Amino acid sequence: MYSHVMSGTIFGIQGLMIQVEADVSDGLPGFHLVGCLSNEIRESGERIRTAMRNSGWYLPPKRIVVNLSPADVRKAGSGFDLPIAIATLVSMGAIPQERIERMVFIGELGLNGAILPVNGVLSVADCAAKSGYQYLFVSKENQAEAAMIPQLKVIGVENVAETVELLGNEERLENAIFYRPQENMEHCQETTCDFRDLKGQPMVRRAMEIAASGMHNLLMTGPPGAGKTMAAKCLTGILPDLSFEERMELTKIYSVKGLLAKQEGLIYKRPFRSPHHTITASSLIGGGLIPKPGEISLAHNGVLFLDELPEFSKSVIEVLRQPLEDKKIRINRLNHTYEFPANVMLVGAMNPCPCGCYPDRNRCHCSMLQIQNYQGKISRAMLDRMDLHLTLQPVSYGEMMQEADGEDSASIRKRVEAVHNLQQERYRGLGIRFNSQLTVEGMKAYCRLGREEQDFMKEIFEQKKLSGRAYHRILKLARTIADMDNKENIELPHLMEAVAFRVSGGGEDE
Amino acid sequence: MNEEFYAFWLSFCTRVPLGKLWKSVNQLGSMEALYYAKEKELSLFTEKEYAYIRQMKECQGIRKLWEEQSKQDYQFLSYKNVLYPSKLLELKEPPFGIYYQGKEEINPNSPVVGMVGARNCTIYGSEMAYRIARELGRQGIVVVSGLAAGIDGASHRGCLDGGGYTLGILGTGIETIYPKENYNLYLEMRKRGGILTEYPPETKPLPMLFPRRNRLISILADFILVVEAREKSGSLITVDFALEQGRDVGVVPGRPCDALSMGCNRLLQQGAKCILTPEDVMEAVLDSGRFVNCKTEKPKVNTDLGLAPKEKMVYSCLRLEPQFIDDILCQLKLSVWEGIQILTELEIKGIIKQNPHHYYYRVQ
Repeated sequence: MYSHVMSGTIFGIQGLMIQVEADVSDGLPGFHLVGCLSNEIRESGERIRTAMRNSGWYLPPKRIVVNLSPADVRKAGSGFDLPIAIATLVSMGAIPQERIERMVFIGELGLNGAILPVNGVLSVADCAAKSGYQYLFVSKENQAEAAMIPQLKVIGVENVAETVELLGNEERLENAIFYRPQENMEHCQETTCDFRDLKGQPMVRRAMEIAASGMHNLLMTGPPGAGKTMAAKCLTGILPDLSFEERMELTKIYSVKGLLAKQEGLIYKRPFRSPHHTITASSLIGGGLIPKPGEISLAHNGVLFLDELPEFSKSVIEVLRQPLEDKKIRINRLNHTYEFPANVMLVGAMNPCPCGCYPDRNRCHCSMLQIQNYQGKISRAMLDRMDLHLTLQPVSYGEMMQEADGEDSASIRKRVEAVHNLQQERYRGLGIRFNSQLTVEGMKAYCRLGREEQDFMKEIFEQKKLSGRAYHRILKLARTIADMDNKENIELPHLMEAVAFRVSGGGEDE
Repeated sequence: MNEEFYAFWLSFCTRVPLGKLWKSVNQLGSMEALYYAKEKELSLFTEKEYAYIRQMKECQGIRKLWEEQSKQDYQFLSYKNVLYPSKLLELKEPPFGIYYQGKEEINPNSPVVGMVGARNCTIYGSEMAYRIARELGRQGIVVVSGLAAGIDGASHRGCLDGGGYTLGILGTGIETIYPKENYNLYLEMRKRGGILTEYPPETKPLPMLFPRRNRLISILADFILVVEAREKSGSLITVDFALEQGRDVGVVPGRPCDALSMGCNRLLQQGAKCILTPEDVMEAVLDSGRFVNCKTEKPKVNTDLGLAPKEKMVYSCLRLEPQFIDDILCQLKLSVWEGIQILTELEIKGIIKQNPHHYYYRVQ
């Protein structure tokens, strides 16, 4: 008898519905799995048969064929164990076919029949809800994650026997639906670092606020101990929480990577990822036989902090160039192209020279050539993509011992939030959220310059030998500064400040 | 073969001490005699040195280079040549010949100032060197230096920008550009200034060759100016040469706590002339009594920059040496963004500069 059950898998970070078909017929006894399967699914036959026997069903000595369609998508992961078992049971007549219409099953089986959690449930749940399915069966551990999709009735089950029992009893099924408790939106901010503790350093504060307001890339240069890492950590404290759509996107990525904490709801904090400088290119941007998102996608809508930037291998830094422009990663494999979101604010930190003390020539004995070589590890193309260049100097003892606290993160955050809201209002319907994401088209509309401002930019362009990209980035940065100033148009002072945060072309060798 | 060739050949023998070569030339009577001398006659040299000289003699490359000399951009002048700088003959052991490339019509009567200093200099040092050299260039004074990084480069650049003639003494072969960051400067000096070396073409930058060229700088100059030197530095070797050769030495002072000014301040302590402005240099050069017909008009200093009050306030906080932006902002009673704007404005006006990023200093 033929039967079919719906399941799902992940494709990139999106869900993809997969139909599992089973047929029990006369012939040589056997259990055959077909449909472009990876090894872990191919070997699931043994697992499923044992799990079913231990749950009380003996497979009849008949020819059982299971097919996963569409057959041209390569399927991987262990989430098909449960739907295969259910499909087999349906075709054996243990469950009526009409009972499982509009239901989706995902889960791995243990030999004892237990249902185990899998990665990427959120994406599949989202996809199932959009495709019009009503019920989703997952393991108990996955139920909280799946239930983030409110349109879906999620049922967490512990083993195969329980699943079959629930399917046979309408009333018990409705009772077993898991609902998420009302989320507490008042999250307490984890205070790892606060701007209150950052003494002196007015430039750092200003630059951080601008960067956070428009989600602009930032490069910090300074000697060891100047507080680069601390400043970067403070940055998370002044970034507003994610919006609902942003949270959804981000949680999906973490779910696919299997990084979601159990029972935790949608991620509400902007991510802050700081990979070590030994990272490889594929773990930074994503990769693998079936591509998985990398660090840059995990930092989506948040901060990717690269400490000791010149220590990263050159090829690793250079792969960031394209995603920093496109805000997404495209990974090509023979059959498909996978796309991962990568809308990050890149924060880099580096020493000015090998010893770190330049330009303090009393301590720095590096030759100009050494310094140039060191700074040259970051290509001009990469520097162009950094909107704010910030120089730091170690704080003096006097500044450190200052009694008066600086402004704390919470009040800076309020201002940043206001600027974020302003931008969201302006860019509604354009598919972007921040000034840093403006396209050239968008800039024509929102970064208009008056006569005086145009003259100024012309002079700057020639004097500083800017590239076209640098020019556009200055305008975007000035847009953010104007927003912070609550001005409709970009004015001369805004441009001047934006220019001050950019290094001029080839200044060192003069 | 004429005398020029033997001088040319001798210039290749860089691994034999110059003193020994001169001694043996004097003993044998001529350079030609040295060229054809047998081993017995050359008891002065060690076995290794003799082997080296013989190797050089058999070297076909030198002969070929000599024959093709007319095709080259540089000219070779032996010490017997009339064009050979007469000042070099004051040396106890002058180079047998020099390689020169650059402008040819030079006023032999113009005063010459040698400028030396640290390669890893501070912005303060390079700015001072640049300004002084620029003013000297304007006044028609020749600046001689070593075409190295740092103070040397800034001095040459300054003199060229002032429209003067500047001479670079290389420690390498004439076509070797070292260090690489002076590439543009080197090319410009070949056109508008001059380049001189005693080492044969294609000599690589070797540490042992550099101190020797310093004696050429000091002998060619009428006055030696030191800008930024550590307590143990190559610039002080030049000063020693200068004092031996009877040249006056002037020093640009620095702060006592700066390691890079320690050598300079020590010289001041020992009685060197304290140089604060380009006029001080000119006075010192004229004092030596050799030059009478030199124009000594004081350059006009334009103090009014036409700045708005706030700009004036920011400008007054800046100094010659670069200051970090945070320190400037802390001194000002302005909001941070206003301070940043004014700094940018002043920078665009060209009266202040930043180098490296976010370190500002005055330029006028």
